[in-house]
Amino acid sequence: MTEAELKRDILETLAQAAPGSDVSSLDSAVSFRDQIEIDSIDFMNFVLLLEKRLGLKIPEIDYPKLSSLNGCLSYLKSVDTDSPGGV
Amino acid sequence: MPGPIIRKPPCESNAAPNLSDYASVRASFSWETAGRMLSGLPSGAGLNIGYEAVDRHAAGKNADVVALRCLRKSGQIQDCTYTQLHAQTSRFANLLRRLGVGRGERVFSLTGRIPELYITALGTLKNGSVFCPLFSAFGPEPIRLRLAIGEARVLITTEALYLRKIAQLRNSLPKLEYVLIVAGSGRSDIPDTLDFHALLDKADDHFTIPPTDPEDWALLHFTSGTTGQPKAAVHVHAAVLAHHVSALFALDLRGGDIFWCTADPGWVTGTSYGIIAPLTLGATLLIDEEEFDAERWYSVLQDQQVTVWYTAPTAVRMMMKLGINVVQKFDTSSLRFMASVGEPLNPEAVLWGQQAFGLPFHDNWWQTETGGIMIANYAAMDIKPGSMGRPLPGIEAVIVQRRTQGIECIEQPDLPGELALRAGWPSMFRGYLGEEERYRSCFADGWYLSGDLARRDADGYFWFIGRADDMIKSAGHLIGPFEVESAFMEHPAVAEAGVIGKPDPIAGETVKVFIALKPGYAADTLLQRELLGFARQRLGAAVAPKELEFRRSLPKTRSGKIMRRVLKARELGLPEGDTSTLEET
Repeated sequence: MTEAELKRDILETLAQAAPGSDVSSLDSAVSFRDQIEIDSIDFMNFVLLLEKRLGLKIPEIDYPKLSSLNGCLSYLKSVDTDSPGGV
Repeated sequence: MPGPIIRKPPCESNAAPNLSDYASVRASFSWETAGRMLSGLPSGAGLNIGYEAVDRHAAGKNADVVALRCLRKSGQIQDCTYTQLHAQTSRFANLLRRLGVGRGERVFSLTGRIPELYITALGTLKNGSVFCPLFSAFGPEPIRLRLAIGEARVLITTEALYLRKIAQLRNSLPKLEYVLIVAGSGRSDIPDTLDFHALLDKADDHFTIPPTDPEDWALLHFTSGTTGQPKAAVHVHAAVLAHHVSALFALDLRGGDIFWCTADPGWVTGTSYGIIAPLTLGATLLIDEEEFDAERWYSVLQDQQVTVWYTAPTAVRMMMKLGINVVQKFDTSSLRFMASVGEPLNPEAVLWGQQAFGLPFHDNWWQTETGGIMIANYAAMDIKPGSMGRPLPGIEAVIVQRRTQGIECIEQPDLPGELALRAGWPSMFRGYLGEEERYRSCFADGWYLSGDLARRDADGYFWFIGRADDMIKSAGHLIGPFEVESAFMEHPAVAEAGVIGKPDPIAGETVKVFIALKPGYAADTLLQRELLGFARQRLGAAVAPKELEFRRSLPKTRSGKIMRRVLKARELGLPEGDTSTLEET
């Protein structure tokens, strides 16, 4: 998966967890919460949807690493998103 | 049904909790005598929350104690001693006076947990004006409604929140005269607003609190209803006695403590215990600007040497999911007492506290209307996990049944009924702003009727059962279905909207909406997303539904009222109860 594809997946998932949010012009270094309206339940849903979409399991302890676009990209690149059901 | 009881050992005298003998203190307690713990304004000029929380400490032995310790998003730690807080709040009171804002006039805040919020709250109280905090995660519609109902004259907010949520509302709020902006850096030059710090810096740091009657209005807290607009509960300066006493007894809080209340001041817990109570006791109030992150929270407990921690079930359950091993990487041995409020804390969570931190979570119960903790588990009292505990000294609680005329007390243990409190405690709300009838209907025969269903066991412990109405409790926030339904009704595709609370293992309940569409609209995923987004933009993430389901029509009474109870029963696969008034299924 290319970085562009991964980025698209992340942003589409975010828009799904927080419908109506403009995710097209996010600052990739700043946390999602500081840019769009999401609460902790939305964030949890975002991670769960991301797991489903990418077919992987994200341990709870790693959730905070996914709080920004850059965080998501570097975390997801570090795990193998191509292996189905990967850990 | 009875689970394990957490027994409390007899107190050692050097570590005795503030309330070491519940029964005897309760028997001898009087609010009048307790009132001696407060100072009162000098020269008998009355009672003012700002004075009890700040000025009296600045003039005494706590002058150099850190009153506020703010953990900023930037990582910076900002300390403010009682002396400094005294000066800053005096400046803010003078600032209001210069603007011509006086006694009883409403000053609102819409900010995150930044130092300016605390200066605003306490300075407003010192000036005799009324402080009303708004939750910064509200969307523009709940904000507009509350500013209008509360007749806000002044609003303190940040640049970002102003541009995102307030600017579009200014024309519809003619009574909102002054908006003070806390700039991100430097000064703000947004048109039609003033710069908070520019005004504060110019104001004098000497201020004499004007005579304040204990019954003068101090705080407005909004709460939602099942029908109609949100209600603004009015609290008076006399409430400070209940804040003080309840923190002393139910949170075991005292001077020298590092106290962390994780609630946002946009909700009543975050004001009563996230601002006022700990300061009246001369404690250090820890303020965390960031949002929940379990591991970071543990590091805060460790690094800041927190001694008393007041948090919420949703946070506790999120921590439980992460597991006990993560907690044990941190040294949280400074903790002496942990409490929880927001919705009932499940027994597993109470016990988990003991495994993870070596201390149980002490659940307690209260509401916006009660102004402070009413029923609690205490440091020296055995805990029955899952129970909200026993009434605070000075508080009389009973289980009642409403009758056509008045109420009937249920004396027999373990029978369900409505939780009621003998009216007249200091922090009892004194009205819903402009809604006398709605206020009166909360009382019968000298009792305040809470709207919560509960039972009392043979030992006098109270157990929460549910709401008597359709109100939703999500992540500790009370959400009124009517406000949510109203937002959907503004969308051209929506014919009917019905909102319920759906049980959720983490948040207690989440908001779910059922929608019947007007003819010509297709019930597809695209429209589903659009409607959810539409509601989020108006209501904000904390109030908007997380789930939407289309229905061809919604169950209604013959008079056309949507039967949320039936929607909920169907969602949960439960019996629908009395449906004799149901129009169609």
